[in-house]
Amino acid sequence: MNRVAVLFGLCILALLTFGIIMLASTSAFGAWHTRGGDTFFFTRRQAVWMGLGLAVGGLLAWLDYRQLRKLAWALFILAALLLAGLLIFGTPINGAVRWYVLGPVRFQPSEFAKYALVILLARWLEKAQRRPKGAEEPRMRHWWWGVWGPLSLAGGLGLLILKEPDLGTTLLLGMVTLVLLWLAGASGRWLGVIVGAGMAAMAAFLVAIFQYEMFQDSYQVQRILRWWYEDDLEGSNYQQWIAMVALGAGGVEGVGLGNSRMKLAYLPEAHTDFIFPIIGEDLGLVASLAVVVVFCLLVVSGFLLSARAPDSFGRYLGCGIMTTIGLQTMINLAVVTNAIPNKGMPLPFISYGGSNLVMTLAALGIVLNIARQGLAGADRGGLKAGFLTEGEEARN
Amino acid sequence: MAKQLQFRRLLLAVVAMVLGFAGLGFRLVQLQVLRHEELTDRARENTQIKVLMEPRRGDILDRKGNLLATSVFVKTVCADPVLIGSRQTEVARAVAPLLGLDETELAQRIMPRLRQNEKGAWVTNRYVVLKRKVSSETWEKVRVAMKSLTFGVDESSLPKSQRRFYQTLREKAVFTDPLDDQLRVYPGQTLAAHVLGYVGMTERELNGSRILETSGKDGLELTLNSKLSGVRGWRLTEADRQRREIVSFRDQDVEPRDGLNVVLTLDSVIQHIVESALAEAMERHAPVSVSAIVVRPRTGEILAMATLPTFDPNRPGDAPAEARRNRVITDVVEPGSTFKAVVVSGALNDGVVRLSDVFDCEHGRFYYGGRALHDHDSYGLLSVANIIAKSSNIGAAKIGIRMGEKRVYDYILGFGFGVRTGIPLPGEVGGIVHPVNKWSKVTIAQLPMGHGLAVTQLQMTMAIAAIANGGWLMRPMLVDRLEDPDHHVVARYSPQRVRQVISEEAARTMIEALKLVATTNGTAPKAALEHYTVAGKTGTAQKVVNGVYVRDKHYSSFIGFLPADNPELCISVSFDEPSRHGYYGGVVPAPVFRQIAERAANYLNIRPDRGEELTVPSEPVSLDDRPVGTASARSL
Repeated sequence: MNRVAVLFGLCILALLTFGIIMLASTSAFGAWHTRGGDTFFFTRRQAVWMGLGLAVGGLLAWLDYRQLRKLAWALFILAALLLAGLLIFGTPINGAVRWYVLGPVRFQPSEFAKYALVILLARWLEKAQRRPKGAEEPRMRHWWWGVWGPLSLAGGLGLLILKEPDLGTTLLLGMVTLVLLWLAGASGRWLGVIVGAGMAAMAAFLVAIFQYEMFQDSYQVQRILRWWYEDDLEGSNYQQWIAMVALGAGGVEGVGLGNSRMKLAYLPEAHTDFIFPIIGEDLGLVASLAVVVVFCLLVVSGFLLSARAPDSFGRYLGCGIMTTIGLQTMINLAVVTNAIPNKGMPLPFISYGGSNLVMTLAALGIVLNIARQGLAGADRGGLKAGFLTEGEEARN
Repeated sequence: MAKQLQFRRLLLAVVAMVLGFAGLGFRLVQLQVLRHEELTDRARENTQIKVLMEPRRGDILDRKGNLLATSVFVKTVCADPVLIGSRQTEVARAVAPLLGLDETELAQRIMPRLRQNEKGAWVTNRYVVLKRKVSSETWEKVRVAMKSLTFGVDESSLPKSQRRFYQTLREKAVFTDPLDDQLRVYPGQTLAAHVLGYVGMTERELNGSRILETSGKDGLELTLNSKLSGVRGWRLTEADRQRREIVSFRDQDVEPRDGLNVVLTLDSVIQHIVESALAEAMERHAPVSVSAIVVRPRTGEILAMATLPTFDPNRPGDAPAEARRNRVITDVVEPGSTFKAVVVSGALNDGVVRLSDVFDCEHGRFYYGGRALHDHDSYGLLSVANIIAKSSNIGAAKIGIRMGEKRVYDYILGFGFGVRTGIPLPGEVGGIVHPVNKWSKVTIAQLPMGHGLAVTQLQMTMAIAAIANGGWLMRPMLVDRLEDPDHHVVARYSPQRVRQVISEEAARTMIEALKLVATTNGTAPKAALEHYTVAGKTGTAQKVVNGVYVRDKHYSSFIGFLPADNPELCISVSFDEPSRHGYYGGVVPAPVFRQIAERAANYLNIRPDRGEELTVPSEPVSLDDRPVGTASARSL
């Protein structure tokens, strides 16, 4: 297991190092024009955030993650308050209220809320594993404990985030919650009903759109339609189109580090959400595939480390964090390759953005701590170790 | 049990994640490998820009290096209506007077407009050309005016975005095209206008984009266009989305090669002498047109060529088409008596007559071939020399008849009539010479007096110049050499002999007869000069209107050269329909010839051959010494 932890750490370091290099390459042009010739404006700031993130992550890797159990509700309420506060104190940027602006620093509470929810869910699901006296099945199989309770918690935060509006993050929260419920042994039937109902609703919605041409006035629907039909790719779907052009122009070997053309103001948000196409253009398929592989390794090793957690809180917490990071990465990559409609979602480690970087590193610090605690326990060996621990519930 | 389930689900989740990433990897392969070519093209379309760089059009210089035509770089002033917003009136008020435009019309033009592009999207116009060919000084004034523009609002109290709007309006709303345009300037204005011609703008399609280019439209500007215009340069480079060039991505960068300078044989001083003499004559005699050519018989170099009415090549559109026509090469006339020199010199060359031979001039009336020929005066017996001096039609006709049709025709062709001289100017015609089998009985009697054929003034001048040049017909020469912008000679043109039409001996004899013309004994005493012997011939032809000779319309000319025995200059002056103060060749053009000849000879320092004691044997004062090539040697 030691080797998995080393791999996990190496993946993080590799992505951080590569990320800052690519950010320097990508943001230099924009920084020079918008920041009065300060080419490394964004890179320098990101480096500061990275230092902070590593400090926070290191601290959390050192502290016992089990302390979080006690903080779970407090963190959740804090997150909810911060999100609610946005409605009053938030500063609109590009038509969305997602940030608190404190002088030169921007803070995005939804980044924090994602992990606050994961922590609370882990706590909730751990409790749900207990079997009430006389019951044959754990609470998890109960409709409230196993499905609707956690979904209401997620839904509460989700509604606040949807209000910003930030549909992408809301959907991410929903998916992470469902995955966690499923991992924690929620009734497959209940989940099936929910997912099935969701899919049916989606299908009905799509039929309404495509067959009966309803909801055509909605901006979101228009966007989806344009994406689907790929018409006016260069007009209203310009950002994703240029992202594809950038990737395609990179080919296998790329045009060379720093030689990307599409970053020259052609690709909007090239240094934030859409940084990946510039990697593909600069360094080609070689690098873009490598990034995908490293992310995949990170997520897999994170899951494996979480599986070795000494308790189910740690396991759910680790799996929740890795699911969040994994899904976020996949959504970002799917958007920039024009595989799904455009949703704002940063690429962890690489996209410019302090909140996301610090929160990601903090969350991974927690995963590392879970791994450490798992390794520090008795030499139980094997992947299933955590699952086989007896008397786990008793410790709660 | 529950643990087993959760472990299975966790493994399944891991597998799902891996599959998800694998799917994204496949998508990357699809974009970066399979669609690489297509998307690379699209990327290039976005970023690539091609800039064409205009070469500077070469100068046209006279033989002394004076500028006759040159190019100066000028600006194209444009505006961005979007940046002007609703401030059209203020901008128009500031800019219109400087550019010489109408204020209200300008305000209209800089109004923002919406239009649909090919893809159907609405776009605003952000590029309006206000004026082309604006000098740098004027543009500087426009720039200053824009910079100090005020709008009657206290801008310091406005919000930041408004302040920025006014700032960009002042600095960027009116701008110039990054590439300078050029303006053709003819500093001498009308000087040698017909030789130089003029330029115009042509819109041309080049690799799918439309470009405006300057090209010659007439005169030397047209015939030497390829030499003058140079080679366009280009730059293949890339730009960011705001169309700012990224210099480090510059690919092909080819400097334009400027056009060659053309150095003419014209001498602008002589050209000026000629043009002012013609202007005076135009005033005095009010003809339809008057033209003159000054040529060096020895080389065929044209020192001056002028026609009135003329035009200003700086503004060719202001003059009517007749004024732009170079009549000395495009118009044909029956030359009249000047042509006697051609026929008689042929007769002398063949030995058919000698100068002392006497012909009976029938006292002014001679019936031949059923037609009556007349002289302007009644002459009895005249020697050949006097037939030339007095310009007897009857005598000339008799000489022609004695030569025979075949030989007359041979000499007409020999002196270059019926074909173009080959001067490098557009629009030259060859004239009309009928072959012998089309002649009527009387033609042989008419041709020696310059009727029954049509020639250009240039042909006639070159023929007389051939007599002056020992019988050698020269090709008229206008271009002396081509130089690159640093004045290194690229090509030098040599005089070209066309053929020897008559022997030197015959030419010398003919000159003796032509000398008599400019004496009190001849038709043109007014052509005589104080310091130089003049040889020449007058011509006065009735013009044909609707196939009939009319009494009151004349073409009168004088062609002469000096010094007669060692000719340096051959000058021809011709009037089309002089309407005041006479019409005879000896009365109207001869004094103009004298005026030109006197001043030109002075200016050129030609050694006088009379009126002063000559202490040293006269050496030819040569303008330069140059090998004389043959006709086949080199042609423009």
